[in-house]
Parts: sequence; C-alpha cells; structure tokens
Amino acid sequence: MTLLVADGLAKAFGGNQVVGDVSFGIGAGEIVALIGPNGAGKSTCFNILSGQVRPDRGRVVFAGTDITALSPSRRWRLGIGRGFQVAATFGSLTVRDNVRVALLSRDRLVWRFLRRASALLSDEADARLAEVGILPLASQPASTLAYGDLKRLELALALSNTPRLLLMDEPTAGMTPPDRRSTMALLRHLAQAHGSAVLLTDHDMDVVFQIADRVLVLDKGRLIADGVPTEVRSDPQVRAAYLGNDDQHPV
Amino acid sequence: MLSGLLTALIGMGLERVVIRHLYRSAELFQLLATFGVMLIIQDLTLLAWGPADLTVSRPPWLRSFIDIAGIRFPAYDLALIAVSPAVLGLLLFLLMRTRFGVLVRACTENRDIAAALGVNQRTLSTVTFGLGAGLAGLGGALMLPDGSANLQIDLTVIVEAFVVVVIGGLGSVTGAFLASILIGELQTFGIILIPKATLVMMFLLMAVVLAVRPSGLLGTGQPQAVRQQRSQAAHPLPARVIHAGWTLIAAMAAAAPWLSPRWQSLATEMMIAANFAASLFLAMGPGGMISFGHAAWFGLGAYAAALSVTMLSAPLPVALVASVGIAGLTAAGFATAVIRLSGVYLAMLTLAFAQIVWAVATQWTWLSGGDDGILGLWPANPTVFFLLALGCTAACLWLINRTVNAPFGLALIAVRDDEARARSIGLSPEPLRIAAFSLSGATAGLAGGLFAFRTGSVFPSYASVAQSVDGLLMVLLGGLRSVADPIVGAIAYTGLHDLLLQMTSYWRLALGLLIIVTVRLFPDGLMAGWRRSLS
Ligand SMILES: Nc1ncnc2c1ncn2[C@@H]1O[C@H](COP(=O)(O)OP(=O)(O)OP(=O)(O)O)[C@@H](O)[C@H]1O
Ligand SMILES: [Mg+2]
Repeated sequence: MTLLVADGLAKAFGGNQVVGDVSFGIGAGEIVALIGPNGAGKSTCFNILSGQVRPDRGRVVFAGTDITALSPSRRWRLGIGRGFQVAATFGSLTVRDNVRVALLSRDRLVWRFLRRASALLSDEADARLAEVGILPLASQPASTLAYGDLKRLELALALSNTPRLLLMDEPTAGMTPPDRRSTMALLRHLAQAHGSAVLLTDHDMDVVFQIADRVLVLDKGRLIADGVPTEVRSDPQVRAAYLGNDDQHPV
Repeated sequence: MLSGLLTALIGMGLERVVIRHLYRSAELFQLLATFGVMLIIQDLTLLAWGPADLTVSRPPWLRSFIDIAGIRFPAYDLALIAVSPAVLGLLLFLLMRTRFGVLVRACTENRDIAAALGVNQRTLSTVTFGLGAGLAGLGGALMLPDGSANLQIDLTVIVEAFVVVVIGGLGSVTGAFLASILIGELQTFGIILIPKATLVMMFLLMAVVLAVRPSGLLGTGQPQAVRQQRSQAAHPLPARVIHAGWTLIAAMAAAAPWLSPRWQSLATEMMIAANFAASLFLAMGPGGMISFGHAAWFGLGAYAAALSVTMLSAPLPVALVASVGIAGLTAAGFATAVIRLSGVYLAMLTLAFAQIVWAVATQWTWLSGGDDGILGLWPANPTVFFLLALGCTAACLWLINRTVNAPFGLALIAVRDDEARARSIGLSPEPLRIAAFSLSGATAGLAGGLFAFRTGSVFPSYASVAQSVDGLLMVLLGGLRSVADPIVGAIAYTGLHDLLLQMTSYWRLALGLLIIVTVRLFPDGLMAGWRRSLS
C-alpha cells in the first residue's frame, strides 16, 4: 500500500509560486528520488512533507492519516525522519550527545531533571554512530566535524527512531564523488535494514539514478515526470528542463 | 553640531581601540565591552564636571516664540521638529543611495562575504560607529535645553533608544523614526491620561507591537548581525570541580561562627550573586534566551519575601518559599506569553517587564513603600541566616547543574543550537524553554529573597536596569559553558566591586577598565581562558 500520499500540494512565497499542484505517492520501503534544477522547489516539497512549511493547498497523508496540519515533532513520532539540505546538527553537543538526545526524545525521557543524561542510552547511541561510520568521533563537539561527517551524523539523527519514511534533502551535498557513492550505498543499506522508505534529492545524477527505484522530476514547481530511472533519463521534457535552465549537471 | 562631530570622533576612537578587537567574539561580549565603556565615561564626566546637573539655555536666536494658528510655539521646539526629519532624510539617503550605504548594508548581511569582495571593513566599521556616536551626540546636545546633562542620563537613554529601535524593527531607520514619534505622542498624552505610568506605557506599547509583529513595525526578520550567539561546546563539570565546590561549602559552613560580620556579609553577597548569575546562566546559556531584565525576578523575589514578613508575619524560610513561588510563577506566565520571540526581541521584552516591575515598585506606595522601600527585615540570628543562605545557594547551584546535565538540559541545548533540527527529532521547543525560564526566574527570586534579608530592606532598585546589568556582567565575565563559569564571574565581580569601592571613589572607572581588559584578554569569559591555559 502507499505509505505517503502528496495530494495537490501548492505553496507560494510572496506571489512566487514555488510549488504548484504537486501530487505523488511513495510505497513502503521504496526509494524515490525527487530531482530538478536549482530553485525547482524540491526543498520546499521536503519542508511541506516534514511539516516545516504549511502548504497553501493540498494534503499530505501518511499511512492512512491526514498529517497536513501536524507539527514536525508529531510527524516524527508517526515515523518520518528527515535530513536537511544544509546539515543541521547540534553544534555545541558532542556527536554522541547529538544521537543521545534524539534517542531520549524517542523514549520520551526528555523531561527528566535530575538524572544524568550521560548515563542513559550510551550504548545504543554508539551503535548508531558505528552504523554510519563515525563512532571514532563520538566525543567531539559536532561543530568541529568535517562536512561529510556532519552529513553522516545527520543521517544517524534522521534514522534515530527507525522511521518508516526518510526524507533526505541532498544527503551527499558537499562530499567528494567517491564519498557520495559510498554514502548513498550506506543510505540504501540502512534504509533497507530499518525497513524505511526514502525520498531523496541530489544534484549528482549518476548517484541518483543508481540508487532510486523511481524518479520524480520537478521543474518550476511542477512535476514533469514520474517513472523508473531509465524512462526518466530519456524523457525529452526532462532534458529540456535541465538544458533550458542551463544547469551545470545535465542528465 | 560641534558636539555631534566631537562625539563622532570619540566614537571612532573607541571603535579603533576597544570594539575593533571584538568583532570576532560573540555580540554579547561586544555589548559587555560597551557597558565597560559606559562605566568609564560615567566616571570621567564625574571627574570633569562634578556630580551637579549641567543645564544649557536655548540659544538666543531660538528663544522667541512663533504664532501658528493663534498658539504660541517656542521657536526651539519648531526647530527641533524640523531637524529630526532632516536627519532622517540624510541618513536614508546615505544608506540607500550612496556607495557607503550599500557597503554598510552588505556588511550587515554578511561580514565575511563583504570581506571576500574586498570591502575595507575596518574603515567602514569605524566610520559607521562614528556616525552612530555622532548622531547620538547630536541628539544629546539637542535635548539639553529641555532637560539637563546628568550622570544618570546613560542607562535611561540606552534603554529608551533600544526600545525605539526594537519597536521600529532592527535595521529600519524609518521604523525607528516612526517608533519615536509614536512613543513621543504616547508620553505626551499618556501624562495627561495616567500620570506616572508613562514609562510602563512605553514598555506596554513595545510588548503589544512585538506580540503582533515579532520583528517590529518595519523590520523584516532578524539580520545576521543580531542573531543570537551560539555558545561553544557545553562543558559538563568534572567530578573534581564538583568535589571542590562541596568542600568549599562545607568549609564555609564549619567556619561560619568564627567569621566576622563583615566577612559573613561579603560571603553572603557573593553567594547571592552566584545564585543570581547561575539562574541567568540557565536562561542564557543552555536556554539560549538572553535576558536583559533578569532583575525582574530578583526584585519580585525580594518584595515577595519582604511582604510576606511585613503583612503575614511569615517566618524567614516561609518568606523565601514565597520568593521562589512568586518569581517562578510570574516567570512562567511571562515566558508563556512571549515564547514566540527570540534573540534581541525576547531580551527587550524581559527588559520591559523588569521596568514594569520597577515602576510598580516605585509607584504603588501603599504596597511597596515606594522609593522609601520596606525596612526592618533583619534576620534574628546572622549566623543562622548565613548558614541558611549557604544551604539555599548550594541547593540552587546543585539543581541548576543537575538540570543542565540531565536529559532536560540536553534537549534544551539541542533546541537552542538548531530549532528546526530539534523539531524534526520530536522535541517541542516551547515547553522546554518555558520550563527553563521558569526555573531560572524561581532561582533568581530566591536570590532576591535572600538579598532582602541580607540588607534588611527592599527597594525598587532591586528590579532596576543596573541590577540586570550586574547579572549580565557576572555571567559574561565568567562565561557560558558550564554553571561554574557564572559562579566564578559572580564572585570575581562582587569581590572586585567591593575592593574597588573601598580603594577609590572612582570605582566605576576602574571596574569599566577591568571589564574591557578582561573581555580583550578572555574574549569568551574568564573560565574559557582558564581552560585554554590549562590545555
Ligand atoms: N522561506 C522562503 N521564503 C521565500 N522564498 C523562498 C523560501 N523558501 C524557498 N524560497 C524560494 O523558493 C524557490 C524554490 O526553493 P527551494 O529551496 O525549494 O528549491 P530547490 O529545488 O530545493 O533548489 P536547490 O536545488 O537550489 O536546493 C527559490 O526561488 C527560493 O528562493
Ligand atoms: Mg534545495
């Protein structure tokens, strides 16, 4: 069955129609890529799905419930994890505490005033860090991490409550090409291990077409293609969108 | 005119000598340095012109009156009415139409990018600072004939100017102009309607404007330059520091009977200061909520204690419970009302609230005794009180340290560091912040209650801007990494204050200089410098 349904989403910022009437579905366990030239409205779509931005029109249905009006934290409790285009982590906390606070939130242990946080959930936090390969950095403040490691930490945060849907906005932005491929492989592996569906975007087309089961193409806020990678790759409209926008990453 | 030019020059000089070196440190520390400058200037003016108010009469050619529609207007006032729009026009022209303006605005947006584009920021900053100082000087000179030059002018003016800028919206000159007209009207007509309440009305206006438009009348979000600082890595206290703290407390308790009253009193003052600073640290550090009006809770706590003694003849411990309760509950209510705001806007509302508490304390004479205060609150046995204060302080500091290192504290820091990220791991920032702010208010209230008994009296000044500034100075002096920082800051500040007060009558000058030197040597607080020198 369809895990997530986006139905007629629309959003304008100050008269600028950034997302106009976008509809699609994501099945359980499916890996879907949402691509498009710069400014196409991808991040806005992610923000609408995760609750950071309220759409002007349209509905978001997750696992049968209408979540359009729910806050980001409620959506997270229902099982939607997310990564941001610019890695968002808690800079002054150590890498371990970053994951720890997510796990504490998952277990509803946040409202403890007198217990020592450092005595809680350390093992699980370390296991999560090992999963994404940054366990050796566990006691460093997150603000000291290299960008690629921050992106991995963010992946660990997004996975912290084993979400049924992962929303990853450019999970490999700022990485070197080999790093990108290994991170995407890791993402795919972890998503399968945790049974999560993934909606992701990236500007590296090779990587995207390799990982995705299905590709959606957004141009100027409208969905212009939806299909398996090979189909989308040869779609003339898609080629036109990218070439017409003079993008530096042609398909 | 001359005074404008002169202050512009002084401003530029200050920028070169003091502010220049602080651009890389957090805004709050820059603010701290300017407070240091203010203290110095206060004493320098005292040195140069003495404590008496200076007055200047209107220039002869503006002393006449002009008839408009049958009403006589003083020419000076009319000239003022003409000058301010002219200054506004010039400033707008400068900022919007000239190369200088474009550069200034570029630097406000992003200092680093502007630098990468080859903008000479050093000169630019100096000139901008000088321009600001010059305009301020001009303003001061213009209002002289209607008032007088006195030594208390500084804090009042800073607060009013701050309020105007915030109501107008940061970064909007037109907004500030509108706001000052609005406040002027409010004060003129307010005096007729509710005399004595004009101050409160100014702050109520700010509260209303910010509640409706969180970034001011014409403001558009927060420019980068005023976004609140992100403190660096939080530092859990090592076990040996905690042991040392407990040992110190135990030693003080054991030594209590042998301490002379003077030392007992100084130690109590330091404990109260540590308590107050730690509570401010909780809000500002892990909570990320800058409070310019922390004296509100201190004052409320003090009055709650005093009134429960005088009106209900409550015993001392019960009075302290009242301090905690009243201050904590009020802080909770306040936090719930303003939780949408952050950064400078929140800071301004805390200031507004403190001013309201102060005004009420001054004006509700039947309840608070007004400026005469409430007297005769001496505890029966000084040593017992000393021990009680010690116990309360220990409990407070323990609680704050525990809270910061508990899951709650971790979540609070997470929310401060990145709100969107925190929301997307299921955290709700608002309740966390409200709880932290209430706890902070409650502990500050306890400090206030203790202070009432230490001095045996309560005055409106307990809720004054100066008291809030004291707290800020202590916290910034110490640092914001762990609860030990504000404690060290409080002890250092109180000790210095006490020492300087005995040594010289120009203690403000000395303290200001010390603050500036400290900020330059330890740009992120004493304790951070200490840690660096250890490693
Ligand atoms: N909060 C906002 N306010 C105003 N405009 C916005 C806002 N968020 C996005 N926009 C605008 O909406 C358009 C689409 O932005 P969005 O970030 O969704 O694009 P994108 O497809 O993610 O681009 P990129 O590939 O560069 O990340 C852009 O023109 C952007 O300037
Ligand atoms: Mg984007």
